[in-house]
Amino acid sequence: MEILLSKPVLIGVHLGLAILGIDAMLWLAGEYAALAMSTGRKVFAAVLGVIGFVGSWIIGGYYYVKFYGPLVKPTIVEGLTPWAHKVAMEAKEHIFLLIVPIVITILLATRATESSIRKPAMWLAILVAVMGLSIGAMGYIISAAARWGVVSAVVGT
Amino acid sequence: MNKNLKLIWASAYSALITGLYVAGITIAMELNEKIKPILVSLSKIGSFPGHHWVTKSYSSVVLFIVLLTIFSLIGGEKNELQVRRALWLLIIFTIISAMSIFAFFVWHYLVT
Repeated sequence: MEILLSKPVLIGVHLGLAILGIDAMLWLAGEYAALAMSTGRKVFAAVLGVIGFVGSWIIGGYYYVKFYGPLVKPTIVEGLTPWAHKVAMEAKEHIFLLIVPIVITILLATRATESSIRKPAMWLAILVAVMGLSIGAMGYIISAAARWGVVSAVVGT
Repeated sequence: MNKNLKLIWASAYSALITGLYVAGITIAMELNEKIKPILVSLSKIGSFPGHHWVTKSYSSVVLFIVLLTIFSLIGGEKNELQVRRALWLLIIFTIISAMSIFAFFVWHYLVT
């Protein structure tokens, strides 16, 4: 349990689950784009998406509240790129909250057999994937800012 | 009656309103310093001192579930056209909510 709750593992699991959610949404969009008839496959992809994003939310939230605020945030805010927290992290943590209700809506939509729902459901899955990738890019900026924040504190530049 | 169509319609509008709520409470908290301590205190449990983001997370889940329950119970049957419109509106308003949050924090960083 101690290893599972360590900082690098938490970050890794948070990222891994988000990647699972993004990939599931891209898979689902592909199913819609290919006019695939299998409802079971679409539902499975959407369930993976829900599991990925809900899991990423819980694990990332735990890390954010327990470790990021007291340990990482001060390093970034006092480092070379305070905007990495003040813009990227602030936007990331709040935009993430939009995703889970949407993936639940997508999951419900995968059970629909009506053809007119295919197109908006596909674009909704693409939107979630784009949001997930954008949040991932912001996460990269935050991690890089924390690393360079530490370096600048040591080197003094 | 197609219960699944009604449920998709209800979920789409619930997600749309939840997204607007998240954008609204996020921006309001940054503009009004009295809101943050309230949000922090609402998630204070035992030794956990509370956190505004935790309160926003819980409240967004609760709001979504409450709205989903209400919307799936009220109103009559929903047809394909209404569900299709609800999904397109969810896409449009999600983009608006996400862009509002991002643009606000860019603006906030530049002016403070």
